[in-house]
Amino acid sequence: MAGHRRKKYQSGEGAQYVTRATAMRQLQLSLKDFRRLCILKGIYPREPRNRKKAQRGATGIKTLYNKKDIKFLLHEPIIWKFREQKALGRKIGRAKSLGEFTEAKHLINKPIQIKLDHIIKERYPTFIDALRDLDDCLTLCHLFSTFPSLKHVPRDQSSLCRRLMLEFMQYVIHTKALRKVFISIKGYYFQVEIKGQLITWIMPHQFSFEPQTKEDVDFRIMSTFTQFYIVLLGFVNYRLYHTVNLFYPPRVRIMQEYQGTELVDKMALQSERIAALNFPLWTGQSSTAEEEEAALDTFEVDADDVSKMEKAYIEAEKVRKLKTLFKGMKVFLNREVPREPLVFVLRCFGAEVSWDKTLFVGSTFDETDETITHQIIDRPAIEKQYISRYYVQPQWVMDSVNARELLPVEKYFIGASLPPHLSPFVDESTDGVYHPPEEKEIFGIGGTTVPDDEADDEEDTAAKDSESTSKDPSNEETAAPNSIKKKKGRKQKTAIVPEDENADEDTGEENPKKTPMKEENPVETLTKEERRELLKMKMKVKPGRVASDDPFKDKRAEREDFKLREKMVHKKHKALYKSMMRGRALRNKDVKILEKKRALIEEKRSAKTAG
Amino acid sequence: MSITVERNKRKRVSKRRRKDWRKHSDIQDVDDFLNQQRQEERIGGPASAKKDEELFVIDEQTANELQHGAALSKKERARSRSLTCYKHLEPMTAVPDPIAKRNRVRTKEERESVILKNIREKKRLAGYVTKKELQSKKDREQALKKKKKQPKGTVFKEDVWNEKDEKPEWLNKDTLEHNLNKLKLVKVRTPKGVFKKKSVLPPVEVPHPGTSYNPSYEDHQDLLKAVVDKEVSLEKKEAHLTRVTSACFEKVTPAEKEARWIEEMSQGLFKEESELDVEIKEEKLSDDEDAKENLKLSINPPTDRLKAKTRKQRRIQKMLREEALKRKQVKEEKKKITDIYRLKKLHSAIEKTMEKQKIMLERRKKLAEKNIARTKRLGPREFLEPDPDFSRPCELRSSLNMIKKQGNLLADRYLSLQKRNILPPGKKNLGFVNHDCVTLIIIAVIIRF
Repeated sequence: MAGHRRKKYQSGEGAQYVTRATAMRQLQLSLKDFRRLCILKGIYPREPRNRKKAQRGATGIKTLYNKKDIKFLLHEPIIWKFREQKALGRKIGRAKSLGEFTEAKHLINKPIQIKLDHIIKERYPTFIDALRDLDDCLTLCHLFSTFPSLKHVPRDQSSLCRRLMLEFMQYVIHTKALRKVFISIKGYYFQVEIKGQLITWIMPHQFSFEPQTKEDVDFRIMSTFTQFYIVLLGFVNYRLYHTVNLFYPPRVRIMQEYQGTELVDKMALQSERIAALNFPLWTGQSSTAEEEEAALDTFEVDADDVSKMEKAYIEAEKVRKLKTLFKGMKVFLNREVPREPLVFVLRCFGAEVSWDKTLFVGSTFDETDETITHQIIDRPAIEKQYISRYYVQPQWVMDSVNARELLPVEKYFIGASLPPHLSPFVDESTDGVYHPPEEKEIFGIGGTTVPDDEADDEEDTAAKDSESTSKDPSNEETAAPNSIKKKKGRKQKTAIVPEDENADEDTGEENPKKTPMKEENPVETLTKEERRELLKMKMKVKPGRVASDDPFKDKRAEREDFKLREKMVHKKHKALYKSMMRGRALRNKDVKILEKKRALIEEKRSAKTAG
Repeated sequence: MSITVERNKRKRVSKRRRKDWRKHSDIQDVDDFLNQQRQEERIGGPASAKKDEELFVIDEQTANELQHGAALSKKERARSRSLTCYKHLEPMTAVPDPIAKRNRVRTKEERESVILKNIREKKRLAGYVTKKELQSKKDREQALKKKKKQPKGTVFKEDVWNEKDEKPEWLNKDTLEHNLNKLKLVKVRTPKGVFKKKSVLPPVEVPHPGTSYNPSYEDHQDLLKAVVDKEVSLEKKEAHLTRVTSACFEKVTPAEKEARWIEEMSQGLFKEESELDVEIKEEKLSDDEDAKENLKLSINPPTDRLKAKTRKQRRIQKMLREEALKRKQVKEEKKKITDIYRLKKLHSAIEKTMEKQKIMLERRKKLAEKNIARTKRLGPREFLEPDPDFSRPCELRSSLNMIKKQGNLLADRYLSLQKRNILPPGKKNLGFVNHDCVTLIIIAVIIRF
């Protein structure tokens, strides 16, 4: 007769998912190991289309996994390693509790190695896939490279992270693949282009480690991610180095000056050299990366695509120029400047860099060298200055890279109030978006800048600066001569916006934050009259405007139109229409009455509560 | 008790059988003697038989020396102790072995002939080295060399993405399959979901221009505005929640509450006389009704034999039922015929539903597009968008050196993974980190005016 009785949840949505507990039971793993396995294998929970069906009628929200994913996990060989690890843990525990410490030590020193090579290939079938997923990898590795040894984090993880990150940066320097830099309050954003893939990562600021509570971040989970990413980055580095004919692990060229130091561990010396980021790498062949670069091909295209092609050409040309941006420059970093990011950026575009010999290994020339063209400095003043070089602030380097040309150094001199550091990640392609004048100036959007705009720009920056400096009492003294000018700028801006405001209101309009400052600073009270003078000078007669039309005209016309249409209603429907309208009016009236009542009650109540 | 004692104290017992002998003869003194003897044997003979030197020791060490001896390190003490494996072989008692002479299997060295031993010793002294020794030395050197060559840390010395076809062509498919199976090299097909990106969101989100260490005024204000807007909306939501929940309830003083309680509890206790009369009447009425209702309410009323249907009744009932069914079928058949003439209408109805479905499909598509960057619900906890990192105007520094770092990069990564549907949100929701609200409001005020 009939076939098998069909039961609920044996097909469809109900048969597709398993809960986490079921999955753990099927795999015979603890939660800790299950989490680890899922992260390593790239299997994450799913959201079902119909949760009730997927959970087989169970209420609440459960973490669900795809059944097929879990079946796939069953085949994973590293599960056996997990089990071995568990057994080892038990052995260690047993030895410790029996007081057999030598045995325990012996066991601890022989940890079970888990190989992840096959998973890398499995998750990223092609190299490009791996490159696409490198953002997370680089950010996490860079972050973990700054960490001290921690609980739940393997002992050598941070040092390995640092090594691999430095290798990657060395590659970027070698191939000049850096495209954009941005200093944010979070860290340094770097964007590189490798094999046509744009990879962005964040380098944390110096000394950025903060102890975490367990609730904030699950360190174990993050460490597992890092564990996987380390292996990924290692293999990516290997491949990258081999594609450009470099030795892997990298070797640096300059060693002869340290030949006398035989007592020093050669490997340690090598790794320090690499960490300096200041020496070119040893290549397998003599050919350099620049020569290999091929010119863009030309295609015959339609008229529509011509502009696109042109754009591509211009872009390619810009990138080509960018690669040799700092070529021939000799830059000396002062000791207060963050060394690593700046060396990385400068060396990426061909500059020679050095720093104080005692600061870090790998400095190549002294501060006294007369051939130095630029010295990067981040303090308000310096005692001894050389005439032969520019003293610029570090922002100049970053802004130049983002602008893809060497910006005039004047704005970035020692002690100068810097122009704003703009983000290069803002999408420029969108039209009809407001671009601040500073951005226009730096990125050259909209061609030439109008002089009026420039003035505006100055005001803006001055206004911002004044705000920042006024908050900072330590800066107040150094910036005192500038503050007058800045205040003026601010005043001008506020005066421009409201036209019909008189002077009294103007002074009252000052920021509430600013007022206390005013009292303690005598410079500002002195300049008040001056400002008024300035305002007076700004006053001018403007041509009168024709008054706008009667605002009710349209409404009136509409009303008349409506009346006419009402007249057109057929005699047959007139009675109905009238009754309809009457009904509407009545209802409106009711509503109004009720509202009024309500308001009265409300008023009464409020009065009562107040009383 | 006393009776049994009396019974035991029989004057004479039969000692005919061995059992009786055992039962009734007193051997306590013999047992005691033997026990003592064994005890002494265990200890090592009776103390009376021992000499003074065996029993007593003359303390020759000074106090200082004693102390020094006690200060052995843990390791030294462990070394001085005999090994556990040999300890087990030692006799537990001082009783001498009853078998005086035991034949022990001699070791290999002991078994070796003296002549051979002498020859070998002579050769060794003359400088001969055996082949075996030479080989072992060589092997050891090689092993050490190999070990030294191996790099210490993790090494990557393989190109994982190197395309190389390893399977030989001359093996047929079955053999290959078998071999791979036996070697456990069969690769399980990876489900597609592993390669798929879990979210369209980028791993490292593009930073807001206002987060620059030295932002332009507009960008910074934009960022602050975004922050404030979020904060204000959150507060509004919170205010709404309090308004519709806790604020809904009337607030009463304790005294008033007490009074109300008394009033409620004393309901129906003290009544005026006029009220009483009316209520009595009412009560009577209600009682009757209750009784009726109670009867009706019986779930399973008792059956009555007298009320049972007769056979005839049942037959007629069945007939009627069948007739009705037949009529219904006839009607359905008729409807089928008439439906032919309704084809047009049916067609239009189908089209209508199709159109509706199309619209629904489009709507769903649109919804999916809208929700493409949505964070999915992966666990019992909901993901809350974290507050954007920002620096207050007072925190901005003109120099890179004095930059005030904001936000926690690790937490940022953790939340980003959660946002991109990779991790289910954790125990504690980091989402809303309440910054200094007061300053935010100040900022809001500044922005508006």
